[in-house]
Amino acid sequence: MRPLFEQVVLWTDWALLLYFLGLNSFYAVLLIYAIPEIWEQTRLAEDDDFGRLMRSDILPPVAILVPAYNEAASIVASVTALLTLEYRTYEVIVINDGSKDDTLEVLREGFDLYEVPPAMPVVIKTARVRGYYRSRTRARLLVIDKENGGKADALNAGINAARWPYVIAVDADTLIEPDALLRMMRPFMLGADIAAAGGTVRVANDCEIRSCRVAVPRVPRRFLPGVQVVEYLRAFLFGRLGWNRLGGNLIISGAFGMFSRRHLLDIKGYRTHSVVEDLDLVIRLRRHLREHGQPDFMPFIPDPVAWTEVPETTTLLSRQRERWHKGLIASMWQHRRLLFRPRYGRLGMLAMPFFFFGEMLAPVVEVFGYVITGAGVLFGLIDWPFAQLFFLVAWGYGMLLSLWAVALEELSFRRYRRMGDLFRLLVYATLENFGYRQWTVFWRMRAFWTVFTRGRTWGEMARKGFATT
Amino acid sequence: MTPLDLLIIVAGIQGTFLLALVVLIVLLRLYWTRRRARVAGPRAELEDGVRQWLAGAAGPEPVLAHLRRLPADIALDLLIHYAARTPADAWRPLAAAVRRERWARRIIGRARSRFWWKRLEAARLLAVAGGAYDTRTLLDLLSDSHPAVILAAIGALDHVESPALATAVLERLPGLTPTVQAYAAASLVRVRDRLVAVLARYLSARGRRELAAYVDLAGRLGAAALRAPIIGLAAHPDPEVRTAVARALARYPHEETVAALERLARDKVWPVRAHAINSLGKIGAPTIPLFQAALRDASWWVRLRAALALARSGPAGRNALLAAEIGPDAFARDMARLVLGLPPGALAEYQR
Repeated sequence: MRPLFEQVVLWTDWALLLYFLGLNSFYAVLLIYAIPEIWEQTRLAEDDDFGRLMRSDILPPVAILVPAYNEAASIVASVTALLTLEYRTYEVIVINDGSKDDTLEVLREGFDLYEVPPAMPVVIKTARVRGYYRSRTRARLLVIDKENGGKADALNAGINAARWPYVIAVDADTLIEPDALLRMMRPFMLGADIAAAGGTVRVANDCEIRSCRVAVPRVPRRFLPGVQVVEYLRAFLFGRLGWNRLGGNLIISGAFGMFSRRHLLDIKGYRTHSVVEDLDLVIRLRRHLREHGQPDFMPFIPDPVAWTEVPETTTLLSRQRERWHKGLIASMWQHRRLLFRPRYGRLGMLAMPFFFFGEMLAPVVEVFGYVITGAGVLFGLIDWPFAQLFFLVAWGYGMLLSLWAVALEELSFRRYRRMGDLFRLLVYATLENFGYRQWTVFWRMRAFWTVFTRGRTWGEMARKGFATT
Repeated sequence: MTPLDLLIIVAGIQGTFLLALVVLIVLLRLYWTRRRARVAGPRAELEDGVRQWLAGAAGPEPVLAHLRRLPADIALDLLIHYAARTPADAWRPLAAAVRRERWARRIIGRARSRFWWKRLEAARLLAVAGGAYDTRTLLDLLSDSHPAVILAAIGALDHVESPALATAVLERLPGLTPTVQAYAAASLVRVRDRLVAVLARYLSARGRRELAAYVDLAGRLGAAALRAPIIGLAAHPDPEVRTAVARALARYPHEETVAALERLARDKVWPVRAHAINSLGKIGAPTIPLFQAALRDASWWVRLRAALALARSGPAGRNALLAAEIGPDAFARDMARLVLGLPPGALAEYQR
């Protein structure tokens, strides 16, 4: 019996080692690709001529979609900030998704709303729209009042009502930098036919905020929101930038992404029964484009920035991470047919396999690794110093990636100007792998558990509304 | 070597990398902080120097000296900043002087670099400090593979007087991405006198694949000599060209224009009809029955344009909308209600 167990442990250890070697090598590729990409993006971001072009009136008009659910407390301030962005022609479409509080009343009073007939032909079916409202004081504002149908449904109503060729979806509690729209439009201007582009989302906790704008960026002093700053930097500054060189991103943040309306209408907008509507949308969009022989490249642009508040308690954070991972599992399962299909190019051969095996299964493999190595040590099959060193190297690699993200931030945008902030970033990047990482693995494992115990009932999660992230 | 030995080596290399990364981050922070502090003084002095030069209290020499003290990339950024805020005539002597500076020549020398950002720097500098003698380099930059370089080179039209450059931009226009195309067209408007004859010739060459882009440009130029060639394309078989014609004619109020637009308003392709109605509304054509008929069009966009055109047409148009609001046609009724309900600001925005 023992020799068999010994063989199982040893072979599993080898398999795990190979898995992490493959995954980490791929991260290294992303990391290396992120360097020239950030260099080029920074050159473009600093180009003053480009700035002048972007301030001219030749830019394509944009519709900003703001789904709102029970946002009465902050909606007027958020919408006012959105109405004063630096961009010539744009409209703000607030979609009140059957709020139970007085969101609509607050909007009606704040912007002197009056009812108008349907403004655009309905292309995507949504929950019943109760009314369209324009503002007597703000010509750019359109408010849609509809029955509750979830965030995706609200966004679909906004896509229907938008009259401009590009739409940008933002959360009602997201703070967009004044020039973010201008910057976000850059790839659409330089590329002939781009269906979507994503911008950077940063952590707003502890930042100095004036008139719904982040005036002084700061790194939070508390560990939980602070470590998420590093996570966001890592996800955006090297993960997504690296993907720009590997055929485009699979994730465009739902809190801040721009899409060509025409393409969204082609795929009938967001799917209302998906848990994480943004990931599902991007996969469907890329799939649709590939199937119709169109370019499916969706770049990430690092300089347009939106700030969002991240969870500060473990309860909220665990819910968020569990939901994200459930969404990832759902999307990977729904689109599993794309895996390793040369017809879908890099989407099928690179992006989907990475997200399936590298992102979705990573927590399972990690937990399995802890268990097997623990068992190996317990039964004397693995040398204890070797196991210790192995974990140290594995976590050290994670630390290296986080520190690299901080280095990229210092090389490029340098938003956090104070030395104290930099110091905190370095500390969080170092500590992240000892405790916090294992927590997130546990939360993501719980997502698998929920999926397996409750079956594929993804739709149940979609109607949670728009609680702050 | 045992697996443990291998792991120790990997751990050692990783540790070294980690340490190096921390040192790099700290050094980067120190570098940027010092650079910011070092540049602040010369920058303020440059600001002062430019102010005195513009007021006529000093020559360009102090400005050049301050520019020399700054890192080349910052000097270039500031130069572009001031060029955008200074009248072209006043700017010219300073531009010529800058062109002779060693740092400027070094940047311009990068116009043939294999790295696009270096070519971009050269194009940006030539756009504000280039002269007619730089035409050859600018023509090369206009053919660049990177759109940002082309965009910067197009900017030279504001400062460099060169018919060859204007014609080259015109030639390249249809191949540019839509927004860069619009930017180039806006720049060409500033040198319209040099272009009208060439453009009229292009519009008459019906075989040109790029006709739609040229018609759009002709619309922006608004030169009387281009009206007839544009109208001549109103029956072009390509709907994209007819759409461009319908759009461009909004800048050419004339009887012949109205007649051509009336024909286009009955086109079988809806974007052509929508643009024709819009253009008729913009030029204030007395075609209310046509607008009323368009209010019942199968296309939502045509109906919207018709309702907006009626809203522009004074009391008669407004009465037509009021009649449609209580009329039998559901399409016309909804659209009339929408447009009559718009406040002046929103109406103006819709009518842009």
